[in-house]
Amino acid sequence: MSSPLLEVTDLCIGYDGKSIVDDICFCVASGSYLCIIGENGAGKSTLLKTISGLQKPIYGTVKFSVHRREIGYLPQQAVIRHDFPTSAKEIISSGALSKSEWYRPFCSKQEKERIAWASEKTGVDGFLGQCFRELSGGQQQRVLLARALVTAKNAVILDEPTAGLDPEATKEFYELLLKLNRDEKITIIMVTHDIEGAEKHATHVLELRKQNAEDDFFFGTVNEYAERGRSL
Amino acid sequence: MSVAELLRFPFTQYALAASVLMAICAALIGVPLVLKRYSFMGFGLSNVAFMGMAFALVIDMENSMALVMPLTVVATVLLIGLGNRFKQVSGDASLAMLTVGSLAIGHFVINTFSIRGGNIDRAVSETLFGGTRLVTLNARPQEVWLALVITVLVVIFYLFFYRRIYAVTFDTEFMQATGQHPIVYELMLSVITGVVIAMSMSLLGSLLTASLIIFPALSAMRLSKTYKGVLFCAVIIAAVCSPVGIFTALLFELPPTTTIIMVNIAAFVLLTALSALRKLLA
Repeated sequence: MSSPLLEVTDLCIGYDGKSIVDDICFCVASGSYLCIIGENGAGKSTLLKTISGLQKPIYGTVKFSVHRREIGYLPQQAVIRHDFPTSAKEIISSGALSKSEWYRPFCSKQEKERIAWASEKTGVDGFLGQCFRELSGGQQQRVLLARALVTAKNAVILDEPTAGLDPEATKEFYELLLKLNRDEKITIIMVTHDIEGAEKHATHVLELRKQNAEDDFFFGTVNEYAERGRSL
Repeated sequence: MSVAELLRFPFTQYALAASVLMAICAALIGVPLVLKRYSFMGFGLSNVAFMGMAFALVIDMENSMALVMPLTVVATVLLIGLGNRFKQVSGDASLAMLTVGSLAIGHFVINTFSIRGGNIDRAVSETLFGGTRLVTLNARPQEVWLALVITVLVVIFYLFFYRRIYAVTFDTEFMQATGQHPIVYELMLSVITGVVIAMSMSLLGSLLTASLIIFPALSAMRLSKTYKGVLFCAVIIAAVCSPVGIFTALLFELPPTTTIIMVNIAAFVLLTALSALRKLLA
């Protein structure tokens, strides 16, 4: 196995110096599909934000083997302003900025190809010119995934991407992620509260439990997770 | 007098140039401000510029811009650029304090310490609401040239960083998570905002400045559904409303600054009605 894409060592996460979970250790190999699950308030989103560099760890390290500029991100839905006047294409194009030199006012040819590729892979090329707020929930999430893919050569980090979607759109979205993971070898790191959906596609599971539990986190492959049972 | 005759007077030309240039600048910075839900910021900051003007008046400064500009820029950077990072006082409260406080301080300072003769009330009224007749709209040639330079710089800045301005307006979290530095662009945008507000305030008064930031942006949002479209429409609407307002004011002897605002409000109401009608028919 090659060196891990993401290495998290002795990580303690929390807000304002108050820890939620400590001593988190895990590695994500390139090409895996990791689901982060746990109860509300167990620190899933905080962990994801810490991994994404949006929040400082209390202690411990988060190390990617590639630059952050090559990792896509799909924020929690509350972050996105759903009434913002913007087209799907404008959103997707903004994914190219992370690797664009600051003095470049327009998209390069390479970036345009990347945008076209991401739009095609996520199946949003049919409504690129349409206004974001007029799209369905599932379409909106696919547009945001396309933006993440424009940035991501290696990995995409997603924070509850299917929250609020109807079952049909949820299923479609998971299938899309699986396809990207299998065919394009894109590493997926995703927070979700949908344990069944996670088990079906993921290769690895990271479960956070409330701190008073005996051991407050589990990390392993899907099979190891299933063997342990959910009785713990 | 006909419009063509009016156009021959230098003061008409200055007023026209100043109001169109500043309207374009204000529309450009207004779109991200309104979209980031900072609509009220324009009014608060033009009051800060008013306070700066009051101090400049009291110490009898030759070039008031030298005080007003830095003061407004610092206030903008503190409020917009850094405000959401250090939450000592909530954004809403700090903006309200700034708006009311700077207006009060400005008025207090002028009335208490002004050594210059003349009508203080009128000076205050003109800085806030602009002149009541066109001649007193404070446009002087060198200031109009400065306004032109600022407009050109703002447009260049905008074209150059267009994609980044879009990104910090739409989703800063994504920028940060993908290893970029949104704060750099937020700071640049707030410096530009401060410069435009200070310039516009000194030329057109604080009320018109605040109006030019919100109305063209909001009208444009009734017309277009893309960011680029909104920006483009806002600039056009701003550039059309100002001369229409000025000529209306001249022809019917109305106060020019508030007439421009009336035209902007009318445009907003009209476009809102049109877009409601379009939705109804669709």
